[in-house]
Amino acid sequence: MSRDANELGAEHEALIQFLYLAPVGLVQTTVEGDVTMMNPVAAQLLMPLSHDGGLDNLFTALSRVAPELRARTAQHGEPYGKICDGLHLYLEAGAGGKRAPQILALTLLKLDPERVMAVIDDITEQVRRERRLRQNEAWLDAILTGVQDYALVSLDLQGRICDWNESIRRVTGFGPDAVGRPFTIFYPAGAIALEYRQDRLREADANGWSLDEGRRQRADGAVFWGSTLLAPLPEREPLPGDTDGAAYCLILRDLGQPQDTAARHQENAHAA
Amino acid sequence: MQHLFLTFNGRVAASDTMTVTPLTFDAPDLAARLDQCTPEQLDALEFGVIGFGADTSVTLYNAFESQAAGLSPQRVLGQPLFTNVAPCMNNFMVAQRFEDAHEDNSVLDDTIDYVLTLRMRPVKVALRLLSTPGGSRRYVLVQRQPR
Repeated sequence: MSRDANELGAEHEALIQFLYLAPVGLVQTTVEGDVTMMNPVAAQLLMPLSHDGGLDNLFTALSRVAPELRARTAQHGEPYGKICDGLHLYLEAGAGGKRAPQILALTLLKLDPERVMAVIDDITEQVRRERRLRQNEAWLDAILTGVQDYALVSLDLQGRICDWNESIRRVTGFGPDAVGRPFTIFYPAGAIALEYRQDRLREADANGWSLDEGRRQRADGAVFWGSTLLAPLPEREPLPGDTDGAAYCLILRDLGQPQDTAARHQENAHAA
Repeated sequence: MQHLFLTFNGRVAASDTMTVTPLTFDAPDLAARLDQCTPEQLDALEFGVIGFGADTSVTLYNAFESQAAGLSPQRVLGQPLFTNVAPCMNNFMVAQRFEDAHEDNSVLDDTIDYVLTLRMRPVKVALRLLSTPGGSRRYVLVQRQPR
C-alpha cells in the first residue's frame, strides 16, 4: 500500500473508532425505518427492546414503546426537518435488571425524502435526578410555608440577601425589598461592629458553620431574641450569566422575648 | 483421560494416539481450549474471539474479529471491553451476564442471538459467552449468521 493509502486507512479506522465510542446512539434509516447504519450504543440500547432478535427496522424495534413513529414519519410532509425532538420513551419497568435503562430520549431528523437520522440517549439517571430535585424543592416549599419560628434566607458571597420567601416575612416582617441588602438588617442598629458581617462569613467558611444568639430586630423596629445559623453552600461560584448565586444559607430562629430565653436556660440548668 | 487437539488450516496436532477435534464455535469445553491456543492458532479461527480479564480489559483480539470490526488489535488491547471496545454489548444481555456469573461464582457458557454494528452496519451474529470461576480469561465469541 502506498503511504497515502496507509494514511487514509488509519484515518478511516480512527473514524470508525470514534463512532464506536460515541456515547450516544446514532441510527440512519430509510423513511420506512429500515436500518442502514447504526453505531454500537444504538445496538446496546435497542437490542433489549427487540422482540425478533434483530434490528433490521427501527420502528419495529420501538413498536412496543412508541407505536406511532412509523405513521408520524410517513405523515411528515416536509422533505427534511425534525420529526420528534427528545421524545421520552418509557421502557417496561424492571425489565432487564437493576441497571437497565428505563427512559430513552429519541430525536428523529428527516435528512431528505429518503433518509432519517435517529439519536437515542439513555436519560434514566438525568430524569431521576430532576425528579429528586423537584421533590426536594417541594419539601423545601412545604417547610418554608409551614415553619413558624424560622426564617430561611439565602445569601450571596458578600452576605447580601439574594432570595425572598414567606418565612422571612413571618419572622422579620421584611418584604421582598430586603433582597440585595445585607443580613445585618435583622440586627438592631449599633448592636454589632462594622466588620461583623465579614467575620461571620469567614467563620462559616473556616468551620462549616457559624452560630450566634442575641438580639434581633424586625422591620418595624421591634426587638426579639434570636439565633442565627450561617452555613456555606456547596458549588457557590455563580454560573456564567448568573449574578445572584447563593453562597450561604442563613437560618434565623425566633426564640421569643429575651426573658423567655433566660427562663428556658434556667429550666435546662435545673433539668441537667 | 481424553486429550483434545486442534486443527488449524489443515495442520494436525502431532499425536498418534489422541482424538483430534476441530475447534469450532460450538465446540464443548471451549474456554479451556482457547486458553491453550497460540496467537497464530487464534488468528486462524473462522470466528471472532475477544478475550478479557476480570477488569474487562481486552487481552486477546483475534484476526477474524479485528477484520470484521475494522479495528486493529493495538487499538483494542488493554481497553475496557464493554465501554471502549464493544459498547453495544454493555447491557443486561451480555455485560451483566458476566458480572452475574462472577458474583454467583458460576460457569457461564451460553449462546445468544445478537446484532453487532460492525463498521456501523447492523449484522446478525451469534455470541457465545464463556466464563469459568477462577479462570483468568473470559471470552466473547462472535459468529456471523447467514441473513
